[in-house]
Amino acid sequence: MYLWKYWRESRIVFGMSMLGIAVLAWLVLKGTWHISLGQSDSGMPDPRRDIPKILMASLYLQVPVSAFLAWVMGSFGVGRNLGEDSGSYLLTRPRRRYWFLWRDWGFGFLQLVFVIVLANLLIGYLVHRLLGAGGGPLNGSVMLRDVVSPVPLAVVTGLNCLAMIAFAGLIFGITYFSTICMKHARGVMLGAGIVLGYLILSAVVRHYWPAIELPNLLMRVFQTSPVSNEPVNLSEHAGLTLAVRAVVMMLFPVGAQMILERSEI
Amino acid sequence: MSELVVETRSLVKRYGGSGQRAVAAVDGLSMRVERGSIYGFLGRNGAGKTTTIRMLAGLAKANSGSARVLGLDAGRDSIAILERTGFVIDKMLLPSMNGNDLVRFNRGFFPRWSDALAKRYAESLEIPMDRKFKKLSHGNKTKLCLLLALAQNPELLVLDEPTAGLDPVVTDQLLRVLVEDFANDGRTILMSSHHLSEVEKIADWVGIIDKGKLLLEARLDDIRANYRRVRAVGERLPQRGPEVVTVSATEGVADYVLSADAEGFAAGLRSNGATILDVAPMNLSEIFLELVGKESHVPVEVLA
Repeated sequence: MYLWKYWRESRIVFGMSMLGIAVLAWLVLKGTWHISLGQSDSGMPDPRRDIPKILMASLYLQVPVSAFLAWVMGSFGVGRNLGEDSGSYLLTRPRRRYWFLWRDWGFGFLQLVFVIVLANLLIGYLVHRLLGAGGGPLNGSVMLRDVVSPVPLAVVTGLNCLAMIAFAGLIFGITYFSTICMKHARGVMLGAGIVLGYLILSAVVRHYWPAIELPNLLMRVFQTSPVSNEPVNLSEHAGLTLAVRAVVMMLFPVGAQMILERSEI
Repeated sequence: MSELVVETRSLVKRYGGSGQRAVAAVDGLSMRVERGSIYGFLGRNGAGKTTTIRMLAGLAKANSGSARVLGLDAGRDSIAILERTGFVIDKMLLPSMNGNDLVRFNRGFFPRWSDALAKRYAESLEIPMDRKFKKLSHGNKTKLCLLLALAQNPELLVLDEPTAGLDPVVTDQLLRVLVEDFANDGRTILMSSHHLSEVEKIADWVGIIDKGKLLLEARLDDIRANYRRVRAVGERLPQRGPEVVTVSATEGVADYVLSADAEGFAAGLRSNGATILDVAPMNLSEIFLELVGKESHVPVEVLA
């Protein structure tokens, strides 16, 4: 029944996301897609040149949409109730405080994952169609410049999807954590402030101390060419990076729980 | 000895850090609420009533002392307490839900929840259940809070200022439901208020709190039977005595409030040469004003 409450709060945002997915699906499935693949030195179509670029661009295109969705989703739940003065009502329902928090976080995160997976499946299918339409010879695989054997499209799409989930989960967790910290929906603004502050800090560090590189909020799926910025290989240690990001992502709900458990309502 | 459903011992809650800057919202409170009673928890704004109730509900943690509800530790066993106790504290529910949604939402939390009771109170209290909570009037909001607490079929109902801001008709409706439907089943109500006339109407026990300290805890009948005001004129009048609750002097007239044996005390004054102007019974309002309107207090007197 508690999930129903979160669903009621988030359903409009989720519904709009589904609408966006439906439009994307319509475009992918009904549209006529064609791509002129770049040519290799021998004059044959060469999917190595463009498809990885499309996959990388699709990842970056998802960033603002996913960030906004995660940011809004993170504003629902116990933190908002505390801000609306209904915290004493909610937390006198006979359940432990973590029970409310993990249901909020879990259900919100599941909704995010659902939207991101759908979007990436559609993007993957679109690339698959482009490869087919472009006469790509690799049959569902993508060639990267520095990789000897072709990489299955499903692997690249899956990595894209996981990177986006880790990114959205981080924004979602930061926002949720901030609303609990502030005991108010104003925490949403704090969440945005933390993310923007980090981006500014990264830019400042990059400018003044080029040797230091702060971790990017979005996991790097591809290694890129320093000259052309083209994706040339899959990122090294993608699994480890993903695991570290998952741990960092989980720190925020855990921190929120620690704060909520100690809070005076 | 009667079973206690609420018992606090030397309960302390401080805010504002530690050291001299800390303010004690509740300062060594020891109160006892017997099963089956309607206990009026009286005090001025900021006296410590709500803080005490929040500690009973597990929403705030005590700095020291203990609080037990239904025989369970309020800090450690809060879930078991919440399953059996209806708390109405802030009178703020989930704003975007209507009454029916809130009934649906609450149902799954409470093992003894009764839809029949919810329906009955919705009708008898005339609550528009299809209107969103945020759009309800203050009176209907309070009634809906009470409905949800009652429909969970609790053994104990803890209400923080339930009638604050309500018109007399709604107040009467609520008090009627509390007394006739709830308390008549032998269940217990702990109700904080500063509306003395309402408490006097329904309570059988009262506790008066001020600056976090319990100044008086007694049966209302005992208060009515025993509390007296004695006004006397004379020289070298005593400033204290075993039953003296407060004493003040204006223009040569000493004004005593006594918790018991007023006639005996007056006889003692007479034998010392004093003239007794009158010995008058006191109502709850007068006692309350005497207790919380003074700067210094005589320690708590328990009549039982």
